[in-house]
Amino acid sequence: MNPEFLAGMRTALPVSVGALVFGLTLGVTASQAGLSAVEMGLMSATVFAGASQLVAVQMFDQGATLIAIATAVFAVNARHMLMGATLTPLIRSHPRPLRWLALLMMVDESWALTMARSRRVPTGPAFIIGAGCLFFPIWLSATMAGVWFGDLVPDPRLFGLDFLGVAVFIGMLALLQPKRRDLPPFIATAVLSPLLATVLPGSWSIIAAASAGALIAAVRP
Amino acid sequence: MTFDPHIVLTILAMAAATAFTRLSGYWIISLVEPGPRLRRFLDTAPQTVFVAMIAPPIWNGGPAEWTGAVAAAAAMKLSGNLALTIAAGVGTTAVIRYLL
Repeated sequence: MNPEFLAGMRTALPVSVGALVFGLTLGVTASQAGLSAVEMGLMSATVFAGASQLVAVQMFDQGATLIAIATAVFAVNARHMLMGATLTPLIRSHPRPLRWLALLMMVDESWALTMARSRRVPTGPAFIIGAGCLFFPIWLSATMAGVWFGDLVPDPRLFGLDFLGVAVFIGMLALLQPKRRDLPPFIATAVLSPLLATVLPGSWSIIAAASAGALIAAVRP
Repeated sequence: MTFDPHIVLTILAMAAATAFTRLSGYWIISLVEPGPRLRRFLDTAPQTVFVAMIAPPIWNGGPAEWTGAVAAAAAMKLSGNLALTIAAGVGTTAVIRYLL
Protein backbone atom coordinates (compact mmCIF):
# COMPACT_ATOMS: atom_id res chain seq x y z
CA MET A 1 0.00 0.00 0.00
CA ASN A 2 1.11 3.58 -0.68
CA PRO A 3 3.34 4.66 2.26
CA GLU A 4 1.96 8.21 2.10
CA PHE A 5 -1.59 6.88 2.44
CA LEU A 6 -0.53 4.90 5.52
CA ALA A 7 1.32 7.92 6.95
CA GLY A 8 -1.91 9.92 6.58
CA MET A 9 -3.86 7.29 8.52
CA ARG A 10 -1.19 7.03 11.22
CA THR A 11 -0.86 10.80 11.69
CA ALA A 12 -4.65 11.17 11.91
CA LEU A 13 -5.00 8.52 14.62
CA PRO A 14 -4.54 10.77 17.71
CA VAL A 15 -6.86 13.41 16.19
CA SER A 16 -9.54 10.81 15.48
CA VAL A 17 -10.13 10.53 19.25
CA GLY A 18 -11.38 14.12 19.08
CA ALA A 19 -13.55 13.31 16.05
CA LEU A 20 -15.01 10.33 17.92
CA VAL A 21 -16.05 12.46 20.89
CA PHE A 22 -17.36 15.26 18.68
CA GLY A 23 -19.32 12.76 16.57
CA LEU A 24 -20.95 11.20 19.64
CA THR A 25 -21.92 14.67 20.91
CA LEU A 26 -23.39 15.60 17.54
CA GLY A 27 -25.40 12.36 17.42
CA VAL A 28 -26.83 13.02 20.88
CA THR A 29 -27.88 16.53 19.80
CA ALA A 30 -29.44 15.10 16.63
CA SER A 31 -31.50 12.57 18.58
CA GLN A 32 -32.91 15.42 20.65
CA ALA A 33 -33.77 17.23 17.39
CA GLY A 34 -35.75 14.16 16.28
CA LEU A 35 -33.37 12.80 13.63
CA SER A 36 -33.11 9.02 13.19
CA ALA A 37 -29.78 7.17 13.15
CA VAL A 38 -30.26 6.45 9.43
CA GLU A 39 -30.78 10.14 8.64
CA MET A 40 -27.75 11.01 10.77
CA GLY A 41 -25.70 8.40 8.90
CA LEU A 42 -26.80 9.75 5.52
CA MET A 43 -25.82 13.27 6.61
CA SER A 44 -22.41 12.21 7.98
CA ALA A 45 -21.63 10.20 4.83
CA THR A 46 -22.64 12.88 2.31
CA VAL A 47 -21.79 16.13 4.14
CA PHE A 48 -18.85 14.94 6.32
CA ALA A 49 -18.23 18.35 7.91
CA GLY A 50 -18.81 18.47 11.68
CA ALA A 51 -19.39 22.13 12.45
CA SER A 52 -21.92 22.55 9.62
CA GLN A 53 -23.74 19.37 10.65
CA LEU A 54 -24.07 20.71 14.19
CA VAL A 55 -25.56 23.95 12.83
CA ALA A 56 -27.95 21.98 10.59
CA VAL A 57 -29.10 19.74 13.44
CA GLN A 58 -29.90 22.77 15.59
CA MET A 59 -31.84 24.28 12.68
CA PHE A 60 -33.79 21.03 12.14
CA ASP A 61 -34.76 21.32 15.80
CA GLN A 62 -36.11 24.85 15.17
CA GLY A 63 -38.06 23.64 12.11
CA ALA A 64 -36.01 25.62 9.57
CA THR A 65 -36.64 25.25 5.80
CA LEU A 66 -34.47 23.38 3.29
CA ILE A 67 -33.18 26.63 1.75
CA ALA A 68 -32.30 28.14 5.14
CA ILE A 69 -30.42 25.04 6.28
CA ALA A 70 -28.55 24.58 2.97
CA THR A 71 -27.55 28.26 2.98
CA ALA A 72 -26.30 28.07 6.57
CA VAL A 73 -24.33 24.92 5.75
CA PHE A 74 -22.79 26.66 2.74
CA ALA A 75 -21.81 29.64 4.89
CA VAL A 76 -20.28 27.47 7.61
CA ASN A 77 -18.34 25.45 5.01
CA ALA A 78 -17.28 28.40 2.86
CA ARG A 79 -13.86 28.17 4.55
CA HIS A 80 -13.33 24.97 2.49
CA MET A 81 -12.82 27.23 -0.56
CA LEU A 82 -9.81 28.84 1.09
CA MET A 83 -8.57 25.47 2.32
CA GLY A 84 -8.99 23.90 -1.15
CA ALA A 85 -7.08 26.81 -2.65
CA THR A 86 -4.14 26.29 -0.26
CA LEU A 87 -4.15 22.57 -1.11
CA THR A 88 -3.78 23.29 -4.85
CA PRO A 89 0.04 23.26 -5.15
CA LEU A 90 0.14 19.90 -3.34
CA ILE A 91 -2.34 18.07 -5.57
CA ARG A 92 -2.10 19.92 -8.91
CA SER A 93 0.26 17.50 -10.68
CA HIS A 94 -1.65 14.36 -9.64
CA PRO A 95 -4.36 12.44 -11.58
CA ARG A 96 -7.86 13.93 -11.54
CA PRO A 97 -9.55 11.12 -9.52
CA LEU A 98 -6.98 11.59 -6.72
CA ARG A 99 -7.43 15.39 -6.79
CA TRP A 100 -11.21 15.07 -6.52
CA LEU A 101 -11.03 12.45 -3.79
CA ALA A 102 -8.55 14.57 -1.79
CA LEU A 103 -10.81 17.64 -2.04
CA LEU A 104 -14.09 15.81 -1.35
CA MET A 105 -12.64 14.04 1.71
CA MET A 106 -10.94 17.20 3.04
CA VAL A 107 -11.90 18.10 6.61
CA ASP A 108 -10.34 20.71 8.94
CA GLU A 109 -8.20 18.15 10.72
CA SER A 110 -6.86 16.26 7.69
CA TRP A 111 -6.20 19.52 5.87
CA ALA A 112 -4.25 20.97 8.82
CA LEU A 113 -2.19 17.78 9.19
CA THR A 114 -1.49 17.87 5.45
CA MET A 115 -0.41 21.53 5.43
CA ALA A 116 1.81 20.93 8.47
CA ARG A 117 3.47 17.89 6.87
CA SER A 118 3.99 19.64 3.54
CA ARG A 119 6.29 22.12 5.29
CA ARG A 120 8.66 19.31 6.22
CA VAL A 121 8.37 16.74 3.41
CA PRO A 122 6.79 16.70 -0.06
CA THR A 123 3.15 15.74 0.46
CA GLY A 124 0.53 14.71 -2.10
CA PRO A 125 -3.16 13.74 -2.20
CA ALA A 126 -2.54 10.21 -0.87
CA PHE A 127 -1.74 11.62 2.59
CA ILE A 128 -4.99 13.58 3.00
CA ILE A 129 -6.99 10.69 1.49
CA GLY A 130 -5.38 8.33 4.02
CA ALA A 131 -6.32 10.64 6.89
CA GLY A 132 -9.85 10.93 5.45
CA CYS A 133 -10.19 7.13 5.18
CA LEU A 134 -9.56 6.93 8.93
CA PHE A 135 -11.88 9.82 9.84
CA PHE A 136 -14.78 8.76 7.61
CA PRO A 137 -15.77 5.44 9.24
CA ILE A 138 -15.10 6.87 12.72
CA TRP A 139 -17.26 9.93 12.01
CA LEU A 140 -20.04 7.84 10.46
CA SER A 141 -20.23 5.32 13.30
CA ALA A 142 -19.73 7.87 16.10
CA THR A 143 -22.54 10.16 14.92
CA MET A 144 -24.92 7.21 14.39
CA ALA A 145 -24.02 5.68 17.77
CA GLY A 146 -24.59 9.13 19.31
CA VAL A 147 -28.20 9.08 18.10
CA TRP A 148 -28.72 5.61 19.55
CA PHE A 149 -27.27 6.58 22.93
CA GLY A 150 -28.91 10.00 22.69
CA ASP A 151 -30.68 9.99 25.98
CA LEU A 152 -27.77 8.73 28.06
CA VAL A 153 -25.60 11.87 27.87
CA PRO A 154 -26.89 14.87 29.82
CA ASP A 155 -25.83 18.47 29.08
CA PRO A 156 -22.61 18.32 26.95
CA ARG A 157 -21.64 21.81 28.23
CA LEU A 158 -21.24 20.35 31.69
CA PHE A 159 -18.42 18.15 30.42
CA GLY A 160 -16.75 20.98 28.52
CA LEU A 161 -17.46 19.20 25.23
CA ASP A 162 -18.57 22.43 23.54
CA PHE A 163 -14.93 23.53 23.99
CA LEU A 164 -13.70 20.57 21.93
CA GLY A 165 -13.44 22.52 18.68
CA VAL A 166 -11.34 25.27 20.27
CA ALA A 167 -8.91 22.74 21.77
CA VAL A 168 -8.61 20.95 18.41
CA PHE A 169 -7.96 24.19 16.54
CA ILE A 170 -5.31 25.36 19.05
CA GLY A 171 -3.48 22.08 18.47
CA MET A 172 -3.82 22.44 14.69
CA LEU A 173 -2.46 25.97 14.76
CA ALA A 174 0.59 24.76 16.68
CA LEU A 175 1.05 21.95 14.12
CA LEU A 176 1.45 24.58 11.38
CA GLN A 177 4.47 25.97 13.28
CA PRO A 178 3.69 29.70 13.13
CA LYS A 179 6.63 32.13 12.94
CA ARG A 180 7.18 35.34 14.90
CA ARG A 181 6.51 37.43 11.78
CA ASP A 182 2.99 35.90 11.62
CA LEU A 183 2.04 37.70 14.85
CA PRO A 184 0.59 40.89 13.24
CA PRO A 185 -1.70 38.88 10.90
CA PHE A 186 -2.80 36.73 13.86
CA ILE A 187 -3.61 39.74 16.05
CA ALA A 188 -5.61 41.38 13.24
CA THR A 189 -7.57 38.15 12.65
CA ALA A 190 -8.15 37.54 16.38
CA VAL A 191 -9.63 41.03 16.82
CA LEU A 192 -11.63 41.05 13.56
CA SER A 193 -13.17 37.57 13.83
CA PRO A 194 -15.36 38.12 16.93
CA LEU A 195 -16.23 41.66 15.79
CA LEU A 196 -17.33 40.53 12.31
CA ALA A 197 -19.25 37.58 13.81
CA THR A 198 -21.73 40.08 15.22
CA VAL A 199 -22.60 41.37 11.72
CA LEU A 200 -21.83 38.50 9.30
CA PRO A 201 -23.73 35.17 9.33
CA GLY A 202 -22.26 31.66 9.28
CA SER A 203 -18.54 31.38 8.70
CA TRP A 204 -18.37 34.47 6.49
CA SER A 205 -16.83 36.29 9.46
CA ILE A 206 -14.17 33.57 9.60
CA ILE A 207 -13.44 33.93 5.87
CA ALA A 208 -13.29 37.73 6.11
CA ALA A 209 -11.11 37.84 9.25
CA ALA A 210 -8.76 35.08 8.04
CA SER A 211 -8.42 36.73 4.62
CA ALA A 212 -7.68 40.12 6.21
CA GLY A 213 -4.92 38.57 8.33
CA ALA A 214 -3.43 36.68 5.38
CA LEU A 215 -3.59 39.88 3.33
CA ILE A 216 -1.37 41.60 5.90
CA ALA A 217 1.14 38.75 5.43
CA ALA A 218 0.84 39.07 1.64
CA VAL A 219 1.67 42.80 1.50
CA ARG A 220 4.55 42.41 4.00
CA PRO A 221 7.72 43.92 2.45
CA MET B 1 -35.91 3.48 11.59
CA THR B 2 -37.77 6.54 10.41
CA PHE B 3 -37.09 8.20 7.07
CA ASP B 4 -38.57 11.68 6.55
CA PRO B 5 -38.43 12.73 2.84
CA HIS B 6 -38.14 16.42 3.79
CA ILE B 7 -35.13 15.70 6.01
CA VAL B 8 -33.53 13.48 3.34
CA LEU B 9 -33.97 16.19 0.65
CA THR B 10 -32.49 18.80 3.00
CA ILE B 11 -29.51 16.56 3.72
CA LEU B 12 -28.89 16.11 -0.03
CA ALA B 13 -29.00 19.91 -0.49
CA MET B 14 -26.48 20.25 2.38
CA ALA B 15 -24.27 17.65 0.67
CA ALA B 16 -24.36 19.52 -2.66
CA ALA B 17 -23.54 22.87 -1.01
CA THR B 18 -20.64 21.32 0.91
CA ALA B 19 -19.19 19.51 -2.13
CA PHE B 20 -19.23 22.83 -3.99
CA THR B 21 -17.21 24.53 -1.20
CA ARG B 22 -14.68 21.68 -1.24
CA LEU B 23 -14.11 21.75 -5.01
CA SER B 24 -14.50 25.42 -6.00
CA GLY B 25 -11.46 26.87 -4.21
CA TYR B 26 -9.26 24.53 -6.22
CA TRP B 27 -11.00 25.41 -9.52
CA ILE B 28 -10.59 29.15 -8.93
CA ILE B 29 -6.92 28.90 -7.98
CA SER B 30 -6.17 26.54 -10.90
CA LEU B 31 -7.02 29.33 -13.33
CA VAL B 32 -4.35 31.71 -12.01
CA GLU B 33 -0.63 31.07 -11.49
CA PRO B 34 0.13 32.31 -7.94
CA GLY B 35 2.87 34.97 -7.65
CA PRO B 36 4.94 35.62 -4.48
CA ARG B 37 2.22 37.70 -2.80
CA LEU B 38 -0.59 35.23 -3.48
CA ARG B 39 1.73 32.45 -2.36
CA ARG B 40 2.36 34.25 0.94
CA PHE B 41 -1.39 34.81 1.31
CA LEU B 42 -2.07 31.09 0.80
CA ASP B 43 0.79 30.24 3.17
CA THR B 44 -0.63 32.34 6.01
CA ALA B 45 -4.34 31.71 5.36
CA PRO B 46 -4.42 28.23 6.96
CA GLN B 47 -3.11 29.69 10.20
CA THR B 48 -5.38 32.73 10.23
CA VAL B 49 -8.38 30.46 9.52
CA PHE B 50 -7.66 28.68 12.80
CA VAL B 51 -7.06 31.96 14.65
CA ALA B 52 -10.41 33.18 13.30
CA MET B 53 -12.16 30.02 14.55
CA ILE B 54 -10.50 30.13 17.99
CA ALA B 55 -10.99 33.84 18.71
CA PRO B 56 -14.82 34.18 19.06
CA PRO B 57 -15.40 31.45 21.69
CA ILE B 58 -12.45 32.75 23.73
CA TRP B 59 -13.58 36.37 23.31
CA ASN B 60 -17.12 35.46 24.39
CA GLY B 61 -15.97 33.00 27.05
CA GLY B 62 -15.08 33.41 30.73
CA PRO B 63 -12.28 32.20 33.06
CA ALA B 64 -13.10 28.54 32.28
CA GLU B 65 -12.63 28.99 28.52
CA TRP B 66 -9.53 31.17 28.96
CA THR B 67 -7.84 28.67 31.27
CA GLY B 68 -8.90 25.83 28.98
CA ALA B 69 -7.27 27.56 26.01
CA VAL B 70 -4.03 28.13 27.95
CA ALA B 71 -4.06 24.49 29.12
CA ALA B 72 -4.57 23.25 25.54
CA ALA B 73 -1.76 25.46 24.22
CA ALA B 74 0.58 24.34 27.02
CA ALA B 75 -0.24 20.65 26.44
CA MET B 76 0.44 21.04 22.71
CA LYS B 77 3.73 22.86 23.35
CA LEU B 78 4.92 20.22 25.84
CA SER B 79 3.61 17.00 24.28
CA GLY B 80 2.96 17.80 20.61
CA ASN B 81 0.07 15.33 20.90
CA LEU B 82 -3.42 16.36 19.75
CA ALA B 83 -5.38 13.87 21.84
CA LEU B 84 -3.59 15.15 24.99
CA THR B 85 -4.23 18.73 23.87
CA ILE B 86 -7.96 18.00 23.53
CA ALA B 87 -8.05 16.28 26.93
CA ALA B 88 -6.24 19.18 28.63
CA GLY B 89 -8.41 21.87 27.02
CA VAL B 90 -11.77 20.16 27.49
CA GLY B 91 -10.89 18.77 30.94
CA THR B 92 -9.66 22.09 32.33
CA THR B 93 -12.71 23.94 31.00
CA ALA B 94 -15.08 21.37 32.53
CA VAL B 95 -13.32 21.39 35.94
CA ILE B 96 -13.28 25.19 36.21
CA ARG B 97 -16.94 25.44 35.15
CA TYR B 98 -17.73 22.91 37.85
CA LEU B 99 -15.75 24.84 40.47
CA LEU B 100 -17.21 28.26 39.61
